[in-house]
Amino acid sequence: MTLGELLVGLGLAWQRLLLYPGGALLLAALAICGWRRGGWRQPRGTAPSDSIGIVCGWLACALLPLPGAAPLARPVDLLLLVGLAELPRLLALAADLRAGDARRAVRRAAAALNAYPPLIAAALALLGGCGSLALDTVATGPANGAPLAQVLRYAAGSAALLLALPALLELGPLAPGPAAGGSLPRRSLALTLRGLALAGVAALPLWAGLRAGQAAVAWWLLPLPPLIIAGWLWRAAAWRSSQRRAGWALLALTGLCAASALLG
Amino acid sequence: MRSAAPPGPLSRWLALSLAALPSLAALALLWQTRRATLALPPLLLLDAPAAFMLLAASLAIAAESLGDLAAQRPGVIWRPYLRWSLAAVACLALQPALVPLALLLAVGERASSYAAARGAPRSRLLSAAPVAGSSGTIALDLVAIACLAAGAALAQRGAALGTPLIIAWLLAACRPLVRPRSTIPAALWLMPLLLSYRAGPWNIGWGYAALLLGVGAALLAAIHCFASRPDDGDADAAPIYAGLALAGIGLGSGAGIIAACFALLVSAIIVAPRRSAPTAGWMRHALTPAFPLAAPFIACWMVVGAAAAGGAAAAAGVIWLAALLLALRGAIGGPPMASRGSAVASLVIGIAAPPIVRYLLQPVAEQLQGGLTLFGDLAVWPWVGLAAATSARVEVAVLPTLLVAGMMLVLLALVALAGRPVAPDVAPPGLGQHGAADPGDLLDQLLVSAEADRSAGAAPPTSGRPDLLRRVAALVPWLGPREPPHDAG
Repeated sequence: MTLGELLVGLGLAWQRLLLYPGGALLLAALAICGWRRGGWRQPRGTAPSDSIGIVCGWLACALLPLPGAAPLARPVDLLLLVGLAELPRLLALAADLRAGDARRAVRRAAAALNAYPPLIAAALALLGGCGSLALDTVATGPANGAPLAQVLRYAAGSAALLLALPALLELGPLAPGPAAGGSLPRRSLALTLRGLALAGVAALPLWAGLRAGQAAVAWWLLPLPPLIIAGWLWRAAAWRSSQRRAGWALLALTGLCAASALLG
Repeated sequence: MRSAAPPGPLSRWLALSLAALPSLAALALLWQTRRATLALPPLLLLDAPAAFMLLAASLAIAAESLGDLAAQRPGVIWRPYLRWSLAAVACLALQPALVPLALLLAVGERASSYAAARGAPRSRLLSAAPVAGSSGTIALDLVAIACLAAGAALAQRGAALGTPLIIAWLLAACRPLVRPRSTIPAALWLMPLLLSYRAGPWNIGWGYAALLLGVGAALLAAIHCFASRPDDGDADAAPIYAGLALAGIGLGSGAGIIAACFALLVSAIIVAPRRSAPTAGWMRHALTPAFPLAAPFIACWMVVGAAAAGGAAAAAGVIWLAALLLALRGAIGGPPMASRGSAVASLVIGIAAPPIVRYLLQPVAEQLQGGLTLFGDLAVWPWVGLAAATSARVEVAVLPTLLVAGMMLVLLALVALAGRPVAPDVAPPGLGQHGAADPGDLLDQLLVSAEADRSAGAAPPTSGRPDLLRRVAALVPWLGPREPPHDAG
């Protein structure tokens, strides 16, 4: 590939970045932020790290191979997407420390550590199921006529990713909680974009399952995975438990998923 | 040739040029040997793997010298050249016995420097002291050299590739994985193991042993790094990259060797001892695998991709976990001693990984091809990125670094154009108190306040482990003790 082809590929990516899924998910994130704050307003004084967090979250959304998205010149993989999605959380953690809020920083770091093992186990199961960590392949799923063990590994990875999603999004017992002053902090755009990107990753295998060997998902089935994920996250956000107990549950999930990925 | 006064700008540039010269020479040698091997028996064997190892060692030595220079610690100007000459002898010598001999002389040079530092008056102590040097360090170095000598003796007796030989070199390769950190660059300890692929393919058991050692050491080092105090962060990241390199060598594939070489490159540039101005803000994430286009992330991605392509999925998962731990540690605080130049170098090397792999690292794998397996290859898309592929040419991991960097620039420009569209995540009640200080410093402040609470009788002292990290570990079952968490709820 030459420099000219790279520029062409970059130029063709504008639909992904600005329209769908990047632009659409950015609008969704802005709507969520506005709804959570009781009205959108434009505050001032954003640090450069916030811009980096937004860019990473936005790019993670734009790189998702959602149904109907324009093709990219080259695909990306799950490792890059998780890396892009994790940077806003790490920047938020640093912001907690900068604000002197050690309790939120502790809970955020613990949530990350509790969520990483099931995420990795799910990724390995998906790798065993479809043979690649490339998002396009993950979205396609196992080939037609693939062995049953491979399909089961893919299903186990999809389920583990879905179950670990509340932990990845810091919901329920893994929420960082109120700020040091007792007030509930505002939801940042970077973290919302991050959440949408990770939810999009979890929805990819669901769409692949709904496709059931066909070339594309029936149009009336397209909203089903986002609705399932939204309902699951809504339910998980209301779950009350200690973070350590949730950590044990996630560890058990990791063990099950790793066993299915490595032994299945 | 010593100078007591801090160097001026002109002498700094001169010293910078002098420090860069050996690295440029090693780079030129690698460029010359990328297509053909040049053997000058019975003294030298010049090929791309040896030239690359010399380049990695030269960069580490240069980074150390520049760190001393940035801290305005004038030292002996010929010492880096002596170290580079010994590294060149170790890397390029055809006779295996010269490797432990050169490293022994290098350790002797370090020991003399350390002894001079201990005996010197305070005004000259900093100028003569190595960045890290102690009797324990030198003792461990000597043990590793003894292993290399045993391996060299076996090689002289005609054992081109055998279990005792590999065990000896594997033991020597463990030196950069253990503490206290060696003063010899990690590339020199791993070099005999890598160059053993010249003699032919490995037994599969040796590969498993090296892979397990590398992966296990990387994870343990990452956990130790996570649990350590902020002022240890810089030194603690070194064994992680050495572990990645050892794991890559153990994979025994083209992708594994390229990943190992890239990890050594990152280790030489990113983790080298620094004494200059610390990096603050989001740039500090460029020194850990947190930033997706930075060199540490690419190094971890390469090893994960190589392991996944080679069918070692569990190893890939463990390395990914170690990378995420290191990224999280970087967000909490540390590595505090790395310079801003390192962060920029990390971004440049990470984004430019495809040409670096194409022109510098692929020749290394190609010249060792006779000893490598087909289970994993690293394909380069010029101007776009990298892909780790299996023996069936299925791309298991794809990373278009240049394309993603371009897209990121477009979005960054859009966000900048939009002005200030978002609020920070947390309304900063204590911002006036802490300002825009470095997270590592803030963690220090939090720890100091925790220590003050303890001394006031708020809680009994439990251990030397930082209070914040102990509280994190209490909420994570696989990391922490069984004590009840304080923040549960």
